[in-house]
Amino acid sequence: MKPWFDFAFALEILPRLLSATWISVVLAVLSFALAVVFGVVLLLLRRVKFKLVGRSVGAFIEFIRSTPLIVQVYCLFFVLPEAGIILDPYTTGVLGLSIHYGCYMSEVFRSGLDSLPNGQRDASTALGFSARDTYLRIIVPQTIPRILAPSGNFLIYLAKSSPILATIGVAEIMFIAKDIGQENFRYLEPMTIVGIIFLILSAAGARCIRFAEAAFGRNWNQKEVPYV
Amino acid sequence: MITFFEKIVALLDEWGYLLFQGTLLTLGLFASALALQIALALAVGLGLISRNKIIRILCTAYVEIFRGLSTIVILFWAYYALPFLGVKLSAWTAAVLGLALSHSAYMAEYIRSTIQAVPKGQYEAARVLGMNDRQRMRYIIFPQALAAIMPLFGNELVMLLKATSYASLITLSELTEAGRSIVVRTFDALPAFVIVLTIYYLIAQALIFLNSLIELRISFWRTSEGIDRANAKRNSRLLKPKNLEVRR
Repeated sequence: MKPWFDFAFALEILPRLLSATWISVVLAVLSFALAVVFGVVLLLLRRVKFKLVGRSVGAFIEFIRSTPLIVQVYCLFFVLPEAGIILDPYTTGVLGLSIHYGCYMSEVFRSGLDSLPNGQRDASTALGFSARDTYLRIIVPQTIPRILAPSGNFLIYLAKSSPILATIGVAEIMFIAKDIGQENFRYLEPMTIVGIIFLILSAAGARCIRFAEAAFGRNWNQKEVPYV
Repeated sequence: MITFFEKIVALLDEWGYLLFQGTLLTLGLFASALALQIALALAVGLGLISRNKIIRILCTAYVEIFRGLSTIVILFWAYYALPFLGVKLSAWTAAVLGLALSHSAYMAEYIRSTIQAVPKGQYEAARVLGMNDRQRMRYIIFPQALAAIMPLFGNELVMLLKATSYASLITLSELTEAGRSIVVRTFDALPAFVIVLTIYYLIAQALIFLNSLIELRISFWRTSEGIDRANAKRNSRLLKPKNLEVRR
């Protein structure tokens, strides 16, 4: 009779799982960076003067946000080749994650911008700032500390939903864990290790967010008004 | 030349029953997980603000662990790893348990924060009016917290609906899996996934709508119209001859 939790086996498979963790983390960070870019693009498109564009972008965001990520990833994975675009699973996965979370990010940015008091815009107009300077020097620096916490949450959500890429053949942590389980017919150890790794990762992520908030938020919110 | 619309109609005609079964399974999964989730979240959320330190620590640990783990990891663990500990769950039970456990942690946190966000003056006023702890919770704090939690709850409903699609990863043939199996058989991906996405979208919109109706009903007394109506009701009661006589 084997012990319930075989520590020797767990130690044996640990290196493989850790190297897969690395892949997962890189995928998540890459997707998040793309999601931020995509979110900004969607935000700008939503503010286009031509109403139809803004409305349809809004509807698109709403649609993506209320349908499951996994179906969207399947959609990309099966439909793109039919359209003649052949991408490897990694690219498809990153694309799927970044589109899905890009929509969330654009909502985060939008609420961050909307939460800024209108007086800030009025004041910079009164001071004769150009539109570009208003955004780059007044609006954006004040928005960043407000959106740090929700953005960080979405980074953690993104990392936590990345295991679904295993279904389209991305060799990330869950894929490797399932593989090990099938090879040795022991699922308990790999799955438990994956759980522990996820706990550590999300705790570390939460710590990083708190750190970023402390670093950015304080500097920008409480900067002294220079006397000129 | 077959148009896209005709393709969808043909697909619904041939595979409609599969999609219908999948939708039913998704809805069943959603409803079961939601019921369990609300029960768990209420217990844990109230435990988070308990006076008993041990209960508080246990509930905090619950929230931290299940929020830190991803839903998918919990599902996989419950379905693949638990049998090695001698507990064999069916895919359905594992899915309901996993979804409810991970999402109840989020909701418990919402419950705690909304209860604690009720202004301190409300607690003090209730105390001054001579209410005991139970009355204060029942008549003052809980109605306000409930009104505050409804928008978060609507968000959570959509999140749970989307999370039910993870059940397809542990061999449950709900809507996502139905769509995928159709694609594997017909080799035509776009129409099938468009239908699946649309079904999810419609369910989500219906949930949001229902939630907003409940929200309106619950927080009616907070709107100016609700306050007017409550005042009118009180005035009409005061102005009844019977009540006037008593006053005289």
